[in-house]
Amino acid sequence: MKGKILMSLVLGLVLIFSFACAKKQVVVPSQPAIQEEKQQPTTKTTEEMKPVTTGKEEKGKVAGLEEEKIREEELARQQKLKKEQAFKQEIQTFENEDIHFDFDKYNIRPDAASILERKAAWLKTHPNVRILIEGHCDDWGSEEYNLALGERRANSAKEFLINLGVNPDQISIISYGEERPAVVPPAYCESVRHFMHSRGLRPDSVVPNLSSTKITPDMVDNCQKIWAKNRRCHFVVIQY
Amino acid sequence: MKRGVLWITLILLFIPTWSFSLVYIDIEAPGQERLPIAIARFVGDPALDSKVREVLKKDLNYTGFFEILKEETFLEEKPSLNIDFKQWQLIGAHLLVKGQIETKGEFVKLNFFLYDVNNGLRLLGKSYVGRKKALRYIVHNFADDMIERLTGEPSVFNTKIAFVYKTKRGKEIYVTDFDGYNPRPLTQFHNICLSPSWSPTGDKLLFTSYKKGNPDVYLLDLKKQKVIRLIHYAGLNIAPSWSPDGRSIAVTLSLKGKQGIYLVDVHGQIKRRLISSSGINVSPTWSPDGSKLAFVSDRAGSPQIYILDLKTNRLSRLTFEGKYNVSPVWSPKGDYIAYAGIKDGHFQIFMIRSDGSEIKQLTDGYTDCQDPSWSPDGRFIVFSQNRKICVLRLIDGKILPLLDLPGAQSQPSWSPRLK
Repeated sequence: MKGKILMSLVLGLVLIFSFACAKKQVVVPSQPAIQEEKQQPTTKTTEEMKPVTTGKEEKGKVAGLEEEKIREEELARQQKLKKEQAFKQEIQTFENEDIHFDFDKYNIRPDAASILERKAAWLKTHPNVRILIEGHCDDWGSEEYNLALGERRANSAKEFLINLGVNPDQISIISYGEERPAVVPPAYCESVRHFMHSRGLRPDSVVPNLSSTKITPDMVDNCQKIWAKNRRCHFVVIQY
Repeated sequence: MKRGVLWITLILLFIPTWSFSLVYIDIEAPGQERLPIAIARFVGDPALDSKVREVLKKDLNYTGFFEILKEETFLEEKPSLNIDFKQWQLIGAHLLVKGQIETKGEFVKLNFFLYDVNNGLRLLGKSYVGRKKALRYIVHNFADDMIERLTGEPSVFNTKIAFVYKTKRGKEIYVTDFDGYNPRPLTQFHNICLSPSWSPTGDKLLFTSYKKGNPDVYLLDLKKQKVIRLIHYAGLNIAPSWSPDGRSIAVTLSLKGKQGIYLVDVHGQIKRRLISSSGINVSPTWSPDGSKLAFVSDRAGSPQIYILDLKTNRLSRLTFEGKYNVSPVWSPKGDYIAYAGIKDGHFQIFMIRSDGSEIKQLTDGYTDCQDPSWSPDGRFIVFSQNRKICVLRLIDGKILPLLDLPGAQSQPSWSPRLK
């Protein structure tokens, strides 16, 4: 799925690029299509888009009219493509932004609230879009409890969006508990976790004196960042 | 018929009736001395003899009830069914096992005898027939009968333990014998499978899987070797627990934006909602009489264990110590609930009286002890320790690793007796 989106994105970008370049005569040396263009600076855009027919087009007015029609169609197509492209960009932005939670909590934090406000606004302007909210947890705690916790996180996000006026039918939720972390913690996080456990600390606690251990402040910092990243809701557009 | 074994109990030999009144092992009495027992060489095929005694010793050692006397001290010169009780008294044996092995083709017949050495009594005499390749299970049967004769209740030698094994492609449900022998996969979903839970008869397993995208409850019929998706409502379908009468399943569902514990029937249809709130309600476990459910809720701000009386609908909080108490499991006798709780930053296994009056910490000095499950005789608790499966023996608190497998294992679940 992601691969497909990426492919169409790259293809789209290349198309738009070459089109825009033709018009504005921007020189991008690394692109062979542009180099061709430079050799024929007077070639019309439509001809450039249909290089196969070049040279055989000069057949009078009928050809000119057809050319006009083709040009309009092409323009419309390009505009549609641009619009689609922009929409896909919006989807990507929407999906790229997770919201995060405190340890063992499922209330919406202020930083998450502002993200959800943006998401709500977008969903309201795109009523055909349907999304899946995935609730996730860090790997502290029991697997079963974390499944339940992940569901509550996704549900909190859903309720928040509904309260902002999003149509409930647009939203589905799922919990993955601790089963599908955004970032798999490196092996040393296990040691960090045990060290923190032994000091009675929670994953988001400030870690005191590390001397007399093999654990460095960087390790703790990194693991804590990973755990924090994994306490999240992830948003996926499933239909548009 | 299991494993192609023909179980035929042939003879229940003469036992003096009054000997039943003798209590050899009082399981209620703590700190009891171990009973010195001699396992004499069996009459018959020497290769089978050493195999039989090896399994029997392992079984008896598992219980923690016995001190198995060293073979070097035995005064008997060659295997015989005759007994000189004095000979065995001299080396300090209180109990004596003797036996005979007969083979016929791929079948084997074992005659076992258990004696009270000091009183010169035969406590048990029984014959077992089965295939040679099932020798291990024949010995388990005798060991169970022997423990039943001595304590009034069989041990766990005919039980299995299901667990979750993390593989490259997901998490699968596995099963192993009670002693860690022969671990093998039950699912090959290449997906996330979690929370195995046995039916009261032990022929079916419930578990949660994301096989079809959503966390749904699946039913594995071990006899028919068939899996069906049993409970699949919108949202969560997790943490299934079969009622003791086999007629209902308690499960966590998230319907209408709330998370609750529901009773569903054996076809997956909702019978009624038991508990539901805006918070977390998960991990139900039945009292053995089926009248109560213990479960985890965060209604007081942190995960704690609650008990719901199904007759009166009365809800009471069970755990007050600690800020994170999860995974309750009701003991087979109903007197205790074991659970995992965080103490001084460590996950440890605890047991609390079901009226909340007494808490015992069962693990200490270990980190990350989670997911307890009782053996059907209530004498053991299997749990995960740092993503490995361990068995805790309650009579002396000894903890033994169950499996020697690479990678992560979790969520062990002890079967009922499978005989």
